Amino acid sequence: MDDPIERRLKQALARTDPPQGFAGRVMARVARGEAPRPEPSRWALFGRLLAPAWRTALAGALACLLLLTAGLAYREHRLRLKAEAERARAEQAREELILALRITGVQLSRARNIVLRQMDFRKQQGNVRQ
Amino acid sequence: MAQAEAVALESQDGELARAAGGDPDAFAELVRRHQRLVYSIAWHFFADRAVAEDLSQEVFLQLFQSIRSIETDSHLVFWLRQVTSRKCIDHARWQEKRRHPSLDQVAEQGAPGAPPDLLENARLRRLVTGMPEKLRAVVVLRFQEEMNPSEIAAALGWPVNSVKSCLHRALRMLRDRMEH
Repeated sequence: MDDPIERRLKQALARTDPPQGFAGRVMARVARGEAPRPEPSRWALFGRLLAPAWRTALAGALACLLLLTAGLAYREHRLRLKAEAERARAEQAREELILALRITGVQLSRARNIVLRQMDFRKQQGNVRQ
Repeated sequence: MAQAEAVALESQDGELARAAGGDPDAFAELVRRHQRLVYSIAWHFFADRAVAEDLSQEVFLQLFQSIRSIETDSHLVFWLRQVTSRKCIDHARWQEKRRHPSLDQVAEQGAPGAPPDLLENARLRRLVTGMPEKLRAVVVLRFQEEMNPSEIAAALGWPVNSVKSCLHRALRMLRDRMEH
């Protein structure tokens, strides 16, 4: 430690005696069966939130959060039901349209056959007259 | 000479074993033997006698509970340095939120008529107590306990490079402030 600041630090931070009777006071606490205070930790905030003064606020906040979550979930459920109903209606309309087109197709085919038969009949009539 | 030291170490370890076995006199002797180490770390950390005494008592109460896990006297010294430094860092963090100058600090700032060396030392101690807690811990363990960076790293549970970097920053900060 050649650096002057390091030498001075060593001098300034030399060990020092505790106040008179320190060991006696420690032993008295030991004899009383005292335990060391718990370490402050990140759980201390959690502990403070559980203190009576914070309980009501915490319960209110949790209730609000629960209501908000439930409201959002209900809204989501309603939207899903509505979408499903619309999809079912669209599917039904599609099937009805296909059925209608099939019926129309059959009717047109019948009409075409009648017209063709009529035309054949008239052609045969014309040939007989000649 | 070496034989005398070996006998002394053996008797200290015997004291530790008796304290672990529940002998209050042996525990009181351990407190007396190591009170300077523990109290000085806390004192240099906070420059506040009440806080230093309270934290030191807490360290010895914790030692009383953990005494059976301590194997040798050197393990005890390591344990005391580790627990005291960590308690000091935790307390400094807690205190940071409720910052107010202690009576001891106020008294030390205005000690008129003290010899220049004592004034310089007091100023240096005041600068140390004004540093962030991590730098303070490293400086106190380095210059009070004369521990090297790897011993400090083991005691605080930090990487050696962090300790070296803290020490470097602390010395630069102290040099700057002592010059102005």
